[in-house]
Amino acid sequence: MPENYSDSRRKFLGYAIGGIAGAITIGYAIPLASYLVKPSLAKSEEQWSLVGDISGLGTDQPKSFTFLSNVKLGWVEEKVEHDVWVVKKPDGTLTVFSPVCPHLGCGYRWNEQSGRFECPCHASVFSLDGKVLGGPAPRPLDTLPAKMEDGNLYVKYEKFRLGIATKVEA
Amino acid sequence: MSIGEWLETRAGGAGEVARDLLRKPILGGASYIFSLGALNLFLFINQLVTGMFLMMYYVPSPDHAYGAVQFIQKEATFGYVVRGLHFWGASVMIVSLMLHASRVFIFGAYKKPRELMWVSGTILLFLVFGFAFTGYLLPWDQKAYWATVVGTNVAGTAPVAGGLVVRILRGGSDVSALTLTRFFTIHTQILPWTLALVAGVHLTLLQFLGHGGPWDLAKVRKADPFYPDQVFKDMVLIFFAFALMLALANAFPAKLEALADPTDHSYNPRPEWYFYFLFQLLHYTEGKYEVVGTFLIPNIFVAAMLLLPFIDKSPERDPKKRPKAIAAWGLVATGYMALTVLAVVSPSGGVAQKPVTEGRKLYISLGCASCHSINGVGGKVAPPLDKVGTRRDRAWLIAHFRDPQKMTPGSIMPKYDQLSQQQLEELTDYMLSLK
Repeated sequence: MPENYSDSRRKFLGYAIGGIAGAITIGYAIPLASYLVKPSLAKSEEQWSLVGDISGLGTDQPKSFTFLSNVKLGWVEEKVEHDVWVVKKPDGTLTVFSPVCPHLGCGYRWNEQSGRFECPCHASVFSLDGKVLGGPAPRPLDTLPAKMEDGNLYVKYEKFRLGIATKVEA
Repeated sequence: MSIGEWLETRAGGAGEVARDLLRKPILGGASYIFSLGALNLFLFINQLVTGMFLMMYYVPSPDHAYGAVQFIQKEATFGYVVRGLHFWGASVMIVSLMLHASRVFIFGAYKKPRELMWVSGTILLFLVFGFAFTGYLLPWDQKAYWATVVGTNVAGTAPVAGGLVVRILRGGSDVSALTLTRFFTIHTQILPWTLALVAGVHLTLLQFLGHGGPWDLAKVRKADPFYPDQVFKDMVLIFFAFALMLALANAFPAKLEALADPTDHSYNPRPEWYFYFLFQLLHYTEGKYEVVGTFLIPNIFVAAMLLLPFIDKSPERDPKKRPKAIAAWGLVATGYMALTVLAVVSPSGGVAQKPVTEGRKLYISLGCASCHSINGVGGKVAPPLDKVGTRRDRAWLIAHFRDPQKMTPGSIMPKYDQLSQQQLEELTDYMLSLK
């Protein structure tokens, strides 16, 4: 050890080194963490997608319609295929259901014999108007915003968090 | 038992070895001039970390690379900081490496027994130039594309194997998607692992051989321990370098030019500043002497750097007593700086040509290609536009865009009188460039 060396100087330099290292670490952590996390939380603004002509739809006879939506993910813009269940009620109004079972995300089906929606994964069962009739599903089927224009059905394909009792946008 | 004691026992004495290394004396006392190596290590880590985060949004494909980099630069939160630290980190690293090599050279620290530290350090320097060259292409913008076309052609002037070298570098005859995946792999896998390995050798040798210290060891009266004295100075320098990079990333964001366009011959490719010496050298070595600038001088320099400690074997380290060596260093340093400055001040070579990028963009966005074709690409309804620049003049073209039927009776082309005068001029510039 050199003569001019004291314990307090050693301690001081040690703290200074730690302080600078800490400042640099924070200098990296803030931009890097935001860069990693924030774009993942970005909500995409859903656009109205044209589902098409639904004049052939019978009352109380749910039908699955497939359509294309424009989706922008990061820098990639593409047309993605989606499908929805459309139910026409006796008074002529329409209900559009998301095709995703609110339990854990399987695709459920319409059973014509029983007149119920049935999920193949964990046997959740829903009525024609989406109410839970049985199984583990924590909430009714999710309805989607829909509108009619010039005889065509338009839908906003939204997504919701699964497995919880409330319908919250994902 | 404390955590420290627990670790001590489980590490089997490694703690004692580490403490020994930290206590190692820095002969002549701690100094900022000995901090450049630590700065280089920090800058390498900066490139590794920011590079990994850039990869999170990057796709090495001509279809996506440009859009992905644009997303990082403009949309991703702090993306411009991450890319800016990577971009400016490269420049700061080149400067820092050159200063470090100069310090070692002037201090005569490459001499026995540290020859292999010099050789491994030289390899590290050239690996970093390899990073710089391969990193260029990844954003797939005009600069990326054209600098890589020129850069790979430089390699192609090598005698005998040149043609083969270009093809291997490009993964084919042209700079294409295959070049991009190849450069991406070299930049993000081959070079980082190689550099980490060589840096490991460089640092291990440093631990065993010890620091070179001042050139006149007989006069050394003072020594500070590596920790905390030298480490403190290292950290201060690193902090300033980090602050500088952060400031540069904010004040001068890394650029992203227009999307790569292999048909745009109006673009003047220029490399990054650290390759200006080669760029400028090629202005002076033309024709049959070109190989002197592209091959001979660079390779002689690489060989001289690697062989330096085996050529200069005198044990004398004092720069005052090594006039030849110092003169050689001065020549290289002055030459590099002079060529760089000359490249900065000299206008781009070649005939000045108006860029036609804007006109080309209009051509694409207006959908001209659905009826017209250029080089066989496009529709067949209307006349092909190859060589239209030799057939028509500016006034005719502008009048024709405004009212095609007036200039060519019976034409089915729609009127483009909704375009502004500037847009018409830009579109006409592009038409006139087709010769």
